[in-house]
Amino acid sequence: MEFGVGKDGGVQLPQLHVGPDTFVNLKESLASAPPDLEQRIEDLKATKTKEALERETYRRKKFAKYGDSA
Amino acid sequence: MRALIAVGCNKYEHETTLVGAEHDATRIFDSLLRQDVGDYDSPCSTLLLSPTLEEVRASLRKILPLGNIDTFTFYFAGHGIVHAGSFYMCVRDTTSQALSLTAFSLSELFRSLTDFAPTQSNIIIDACKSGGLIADLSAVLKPEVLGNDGTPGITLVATSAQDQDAGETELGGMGTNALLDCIEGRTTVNDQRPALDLAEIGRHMHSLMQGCGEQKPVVWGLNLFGSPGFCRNPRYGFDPAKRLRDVLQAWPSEGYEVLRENYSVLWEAYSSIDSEWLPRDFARIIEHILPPLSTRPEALASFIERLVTASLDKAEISSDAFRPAEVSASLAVCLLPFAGSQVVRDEMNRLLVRSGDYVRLAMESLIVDLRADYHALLSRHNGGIADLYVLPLRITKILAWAGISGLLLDNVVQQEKANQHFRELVGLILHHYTLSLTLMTDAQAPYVAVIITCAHKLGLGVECEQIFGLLYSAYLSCHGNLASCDIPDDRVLEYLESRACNDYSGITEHVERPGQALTVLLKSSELLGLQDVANDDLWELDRTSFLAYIPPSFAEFGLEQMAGGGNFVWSVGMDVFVVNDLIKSWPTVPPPRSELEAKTAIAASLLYPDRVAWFLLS
Repeated sequence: MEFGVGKDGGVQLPQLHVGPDTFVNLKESLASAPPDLEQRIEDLKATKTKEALERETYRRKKFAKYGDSA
Repeated sequence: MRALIAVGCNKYEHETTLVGAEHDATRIFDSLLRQDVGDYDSPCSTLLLSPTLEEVRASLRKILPLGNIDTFTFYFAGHGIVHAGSFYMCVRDTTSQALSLTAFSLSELFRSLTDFAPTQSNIIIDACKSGGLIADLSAVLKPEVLGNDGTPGITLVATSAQDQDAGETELGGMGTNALLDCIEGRTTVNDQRPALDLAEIGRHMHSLMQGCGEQKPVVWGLNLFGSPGFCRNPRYGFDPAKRLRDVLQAWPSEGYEVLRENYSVLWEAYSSIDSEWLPRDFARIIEHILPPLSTRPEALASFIERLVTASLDKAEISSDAFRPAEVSASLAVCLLPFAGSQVVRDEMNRLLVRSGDYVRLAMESLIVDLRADYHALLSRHNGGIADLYVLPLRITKILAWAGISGLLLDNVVQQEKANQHFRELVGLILHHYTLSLTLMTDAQAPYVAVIITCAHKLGLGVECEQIFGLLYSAYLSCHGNLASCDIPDDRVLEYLESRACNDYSGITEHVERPGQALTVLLKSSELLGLQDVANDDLWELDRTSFLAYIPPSFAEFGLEQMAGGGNFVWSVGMDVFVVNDLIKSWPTVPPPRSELEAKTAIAASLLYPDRVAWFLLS
């Protein structure tokens, strides 16, 4: 799973769409997860965000120029 | 000899000034002197504007004694009055205190006519109370004046009864307007004889003037004999329906069942030619009735030839000067699937040449209009905001047809004239309509492809750059959100509002995505060597998709739906970052099998702007 970057340059996180029962289960699972899980998720998000921005920078460089100041 | 005296009196020394009488007399004079309308002889015809009584008499003295006059027409517009049992036409120095001495009486005119006896005399009076001329008829209703062989025939038309006023509109006197409608063919008096007489025109004027309030013209014909000779009949032999009836009666027996099933829609299609004509609707019907004739190419070509003659008669009376060109091209495109036969190919060539010639004539007329008034391309009716959308479409369509006219013609001299007209038209449009040379709808994509390739071929390098620049800027400014080819008329205003605020969320279903316009622009930049220009701003179209449909061949390029081929879609920022990326991934476009197929395919793209003839840019 890779993050995308929108037209405004902001990173777009993936979305998970689930039914109401699954949502309740998911919330309960997160609440009962080990304490380091949240940190691991945040670390993963940061890594993926960095990679997405690097990919976007690389993508924009393929244009002759990008943006008014370029 | 055919003689005319037209008098229009606006200025009066002792009466109220009029506004439209001189204009009316001038219109009548100009019209009747035209060879194709009245064919009156210029050396013995006179136009008098606000003349004195002596000037009117001098004209009669100059013209009537010339002799050998077979038709004499006297027209008067101005003040008229009945006094002491006689009708008087008031001229500049007329005074109401001495009418018999200072006004021109009908009795005096009658005496001159009976004295010099032109074979036929026509008298038209557009003035208040002109029906009062009946008071003077006793001057001619005498056995020694009329009745013998060689005595003159006299027709009189008064545009109002003796107890009515004569009205006028911004176009001129109502009676004169009705008269001109008859003699210039805007209404049909009859289509059976080559000439019209004033009596039947007068009767027809009565019908035309039904909506003119109380004013009703009155007509008298005295001692009438021989053939009518007031003016030519512009509608002679012109019953548009007759032409189609002749075509259908000559239909070959095979396929007659198909014809019978489509009889009424064929009439509808034919009837629409001079009004709300839609090329696709027209072609749909024609294409449906052609297949039974496919095994007999001669019969097929013959039917199309007769149909085109009937159709062009109708198209020529359309207010759209390009309609005959489109109709002719449309029929050529309908024949494209049958182009395996030489007979059919010859017919297609003739149709395309005709189309090119009509475009050439339309361009000549447009250039004259634009030189006289550079607003000539604006809508005459219901313009205003609507022109924000339709004017760019109209301009690109006209330029595209103008661009290919040289290609369609087969005579070198005509081709050069057509190309010269195209050059001049491009110049005029760039000069006067710069801001309207813009993109509103993806339906303009095929027009742009044709304009740029034709202009490039004719060496209009600077103009090509300007056109490309204007259109590319327009595309960038709306971020590629052009209206779809089939946007309903009642959503166009909404689209314009969306464009003004750069918010298309309310009209997404009528924004063309992906469209062909960007494909045309990027391929054009390659043709013109302007890739760097296009590349500099391509980032603004990041995430915009664009496409090209490449048919398997151009043999069926006129059909509503084509089987096979490929839809090629690119996305800026994913597949294409610079123009060269598009060039490298551009598919192979099968070339047309012949020059005829190429010309027909280009014509099809202009008639049905949901497709682009990509071989132009490949």
